[in-house]
Amino acid sequence: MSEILVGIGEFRVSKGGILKTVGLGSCIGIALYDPAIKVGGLAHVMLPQSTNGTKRSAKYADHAVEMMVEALERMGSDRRKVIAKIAGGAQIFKHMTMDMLRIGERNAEAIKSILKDYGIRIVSEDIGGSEGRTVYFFTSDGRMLVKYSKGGELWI
Amino acid sequence: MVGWFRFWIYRVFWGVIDLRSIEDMGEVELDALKELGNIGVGKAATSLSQMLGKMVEMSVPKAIVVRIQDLHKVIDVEEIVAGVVTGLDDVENGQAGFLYITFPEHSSRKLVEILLGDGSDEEMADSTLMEIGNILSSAFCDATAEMLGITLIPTPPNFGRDFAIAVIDIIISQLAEKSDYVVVFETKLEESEDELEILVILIPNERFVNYIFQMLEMVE
Repeated sequence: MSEILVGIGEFRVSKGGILKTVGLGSCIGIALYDPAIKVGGLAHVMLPQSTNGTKRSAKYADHAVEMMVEALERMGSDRRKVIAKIAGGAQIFKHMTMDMLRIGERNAEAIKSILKDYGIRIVSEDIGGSEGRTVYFFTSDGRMLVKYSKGGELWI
Repeated sequence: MVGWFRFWIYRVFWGVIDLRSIEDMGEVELDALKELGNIGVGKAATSLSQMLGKMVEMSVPKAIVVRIQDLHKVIDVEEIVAGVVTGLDDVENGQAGFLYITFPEHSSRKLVEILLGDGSDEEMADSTLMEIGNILSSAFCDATAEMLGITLIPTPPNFGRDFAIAVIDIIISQLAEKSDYVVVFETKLEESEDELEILVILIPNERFVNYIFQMLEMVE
């Protein structure tokens, strides 16, 4: 089956396809899924929160969730049925300056509270660590495959 | 004459006038950027030759301006690299951007072998690559001083081994609020029969972009 690549700061939705995003470091992949009608979306977000008045862009987690929920609704989804899976937020650098410390994990926390505001439940997650991740999201059944840069794999 | 006048206007109203972004760059500005990469690479080759005690050549880089979203179309973002990141600090005005130097796995191993004769000690290998990153970014800063008359100082390097994009996304994210573009310089380092690929990515903030515009206005 063909893979649909989600670029950095972008999102894609699909019914039945495989959504893929590569090289998540401190960035986070947010997958939304409606199991009732088997449609899902995947976003590669860079920043937790947009500032007031910025152009809508999926690089911000709050915008990405909003845009994905809207896109799923257009495909016939009911937002009350939508669930989420998230992965990413690693710390790759060996030596960190203070302001960059735990940025990935802080991103994840912000994303959790955004999803909570939408009433979207996170069913599984894989956050933190010191390795980059590539993520495959199978919209046919809602499974997510996390491949680590150093060779490991994890289904969440 | 007019050019000078405009330059002074910019100096006076610095910060009042809207800063321009990389999207506003035309062919002339891009050429200037290419030339900057060119001078930087030339200087880097000289310093590396001195350090290695043998002749090293570096090819003239292509400069490509890429939207962050499209980065995967230009570089292999999933390739495992050794990546060195240094900040570019403007002594007078603060940070001007970052320089990200990546060595693909095989290139990095080869490079360390050439330098140390033996690449088995990982910690040694890492600091060697950091030092090479340091030399490259110092060379780039020298080039900016020569061409733009602006003194940039590289910050101590950060290092990571991972997917090319995973190493740097923390930096790109920090600048993503203001800019959606980076500049990719692709160059090859040649030492006798060995050819090593090096990718240098400039992540400028708007201050850096304005250096380029300013310079071109001065020569106008």
